[in-house]
Amino acid sequence: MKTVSTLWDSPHRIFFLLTIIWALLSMLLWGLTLFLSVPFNPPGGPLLWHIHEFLFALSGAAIIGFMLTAVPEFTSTEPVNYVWLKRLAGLWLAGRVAYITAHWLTPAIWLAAMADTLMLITLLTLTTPVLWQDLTRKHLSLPLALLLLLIVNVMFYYELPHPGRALQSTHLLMGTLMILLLLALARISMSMVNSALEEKQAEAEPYLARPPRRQLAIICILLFSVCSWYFPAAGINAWLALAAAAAILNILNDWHLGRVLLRRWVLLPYCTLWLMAAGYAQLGISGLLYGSVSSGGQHLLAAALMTAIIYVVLVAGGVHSGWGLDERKRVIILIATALLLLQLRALAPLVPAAYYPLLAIAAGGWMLSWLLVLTISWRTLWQRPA
Amino acid sequence: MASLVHRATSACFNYLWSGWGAASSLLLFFAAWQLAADIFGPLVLPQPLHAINRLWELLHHATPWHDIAVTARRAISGFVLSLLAGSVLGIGAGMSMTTSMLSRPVITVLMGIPPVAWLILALLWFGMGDGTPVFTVFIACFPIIFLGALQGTRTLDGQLKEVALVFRIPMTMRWKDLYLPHIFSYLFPAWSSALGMSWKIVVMAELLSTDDGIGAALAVSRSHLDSVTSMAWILALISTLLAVEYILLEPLKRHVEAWREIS
Amino acid sequence: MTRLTMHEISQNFATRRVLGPVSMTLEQGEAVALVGPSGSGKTTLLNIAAGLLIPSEGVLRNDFAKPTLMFQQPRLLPWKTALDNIALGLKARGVPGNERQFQAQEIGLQLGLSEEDLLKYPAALSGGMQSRVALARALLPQPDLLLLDEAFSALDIGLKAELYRYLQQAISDTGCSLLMITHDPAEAMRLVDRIIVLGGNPGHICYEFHTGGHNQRQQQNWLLERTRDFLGIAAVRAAFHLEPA
Repeated sequence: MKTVSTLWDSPHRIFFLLTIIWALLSMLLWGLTLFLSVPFNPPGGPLLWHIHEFLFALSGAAIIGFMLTAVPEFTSTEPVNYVWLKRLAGLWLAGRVAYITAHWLTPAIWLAAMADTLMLITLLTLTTPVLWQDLTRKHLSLPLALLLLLIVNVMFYYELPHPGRALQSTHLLMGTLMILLLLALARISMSMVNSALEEKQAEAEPYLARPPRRQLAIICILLFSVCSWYFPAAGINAWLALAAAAAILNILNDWHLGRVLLRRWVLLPYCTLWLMAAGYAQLGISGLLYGSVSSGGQHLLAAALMTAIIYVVLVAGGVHSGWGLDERKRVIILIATALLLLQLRALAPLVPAAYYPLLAIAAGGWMLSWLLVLTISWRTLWQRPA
Repeated sequence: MASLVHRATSACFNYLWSGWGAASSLLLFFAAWQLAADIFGPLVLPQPLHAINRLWELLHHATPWHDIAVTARRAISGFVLSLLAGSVLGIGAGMSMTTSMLSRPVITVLMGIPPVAWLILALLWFGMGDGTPVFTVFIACFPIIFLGALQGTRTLDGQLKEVALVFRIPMTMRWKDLYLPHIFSYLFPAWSSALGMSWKIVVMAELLSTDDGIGAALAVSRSHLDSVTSMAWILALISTLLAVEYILLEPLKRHVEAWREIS
Repeated sequence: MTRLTMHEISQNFATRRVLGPVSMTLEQGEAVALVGPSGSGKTTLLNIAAGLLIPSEGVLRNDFAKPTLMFQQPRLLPWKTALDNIALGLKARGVPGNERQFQAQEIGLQLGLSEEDLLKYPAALSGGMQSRVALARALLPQPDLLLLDEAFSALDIGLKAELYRYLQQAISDTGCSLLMITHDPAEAMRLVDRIIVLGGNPGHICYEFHTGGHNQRQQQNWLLERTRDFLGIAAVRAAFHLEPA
């Protein structure tokens, strides 16, 4: 009884736990379909399910945890009542179950669409008024990006009967998540990097996540996502992807502050940005050379997303449950190794002969990372410190 | 000392890294170019990638390098001439109220004459050859630099001169330490805009007056209706201009005007 | 005997006379203050003494070999570091680079500037820091006559007191003469032997006040008393357009 009430006492506990569990479960299901050919065919096919559930569902849980924890902190307001946490978690769960159920019962997909939409509307109504009342209004970009996510997700379900068009709309989904990632990362990294800097030396220059550079990157990502959704075959997409890659590398300028970069809680978000830049660069270069967009770049972006989510879960989970950051060395080494294995997924299309083995290793890397995150976070998410 | 070297290298690295911002905006420009190429077709506007490929092919032959060298020689000679004449005469004119009153209307007239008009006159005076482009560059850049030097000298305030008198600063040091740094903050922007202009004007002059150089090469590709090669040459022009701006002028400006930044 | 002599000096700007005729002398080692309302020609007189203005009429004899002036604004060279600004006078005299940097650093540190401050450009220094640099620049060439044009008027009282102390020390160490403009009678009382009151339009000398009390200048009571005496003098009150006491 006691553990259950702890789980509901702050938003990050339940939603980060859902994130981790879903990362493991969805990969299990996808692995069964991909490697063991277990029949699984929800509306639109298994690939679209894989993309949507890895992007939207996984990030969705993390985003709710992040927003409901961060917004009261940004605005010095009361956190939301646990009843809302239960409703949101219920809607999230309903969406996941309904999408899988649609394999047997096609109309269930409408239930998934409705649950997802209602979940985002609830999140927006819980957070937007508070952020609007904040006089500086500097966090309004977050609900705006969430609104975009809502629209894009509705579009995905709407296009599902035409798998080709639905696949195009996942470019928009990825772009929106990348924008949310940049927005969230800027806010978390600001305090993390500066506390690492203070620990190291007093007179160092402070780290500032400068909005102009971030905004340039967001504009480029938005342009690329919209263009590659609307004109999938246009030559312009490759240039826009390259522009996005350059704009993300430009953000790294804020980060180059010397040896502090090697601290783990600084290195992880820094690598996330590199992965993002690499992903867009890959999309751009393959577009220029072959005139088509390969899934390798999309997987690099997904890896960036996953790294960021793991970072948020470990950092925000540790800090907000009162346990503090986990400073054990092996933790970070193991996660880094697992993340490296995951990169093989992006390389797989380049080595057709070893395509499936590489995919399998990458999937193993995925499972390993999240199992590690689960073992590390188990205590911090389920218990209060004594 | 070690920390100084470290600071210098990290500043250099940060400067180079901030180039990604510029790269991003240029890539967006390429995207717009691509869009226009898709809409209007390759005959009107070739795709950026095709122009880049053509430039790459061009640079593997000897003649383009020769053309670039010829154009650079003309642009630089015209620019250096106008830099010397404009700076010296501008400072000289600025030292007296009378000469600055005299020279201002003349400069306004010189600035008002379009470079093409100068080019026609230069063709009459110098004919085909180096003289025409060099003169056109010179006469187009001169008033800009002259005006910068004039304004810099006119705005030397009495306060600075009083400091020089009080501390009995000898004449050479007065110029070197007091007057020239002030004038330079007016001259430098004039020099950099004149440098950019010289590069554009030399090509225009070559187009009409010579049979070698980038301008002449552009004329040839135009007459063959070869839009890809034309764009390749234009790309070459723009990239040298960008290189001069960001590798030479911008770091130089940061270095000489470090005192303006409030650290 | 080294001295500055002005005999029947007057100054016209275009057709308007702003100063004079004025006669005064400043002996070696003497400290004199010029006080007076705005427009009484104090700065004009100081600029004449500094050689920045050639008087329209009258005879000026200046035997001092190395006068320096500290302006009302710091007037530092914005493109030179604080250290190079301090060393300006030495550079003008051809002192080699290392030597003048060393001396400039020494005096800069004495005046409360840190080594880090000395490497900054003036734009990065606060107003108080800039005044310290300006004073160091005026003192470093070891002047035999120091001219101050309301140099401390914009500073806070703590910094003023600090710079006064340093100035008094420097003057007593080197035997340098001082001619200063000030708006603050207490400041004059503290630093100089003689106060010359300028007034009227065109400005002329209305009164000369000998402060005396060489050894008591640090004492607050003495300063207040002498300042009160000074402000009680009818000619001084008239020069400042104050109603009679």
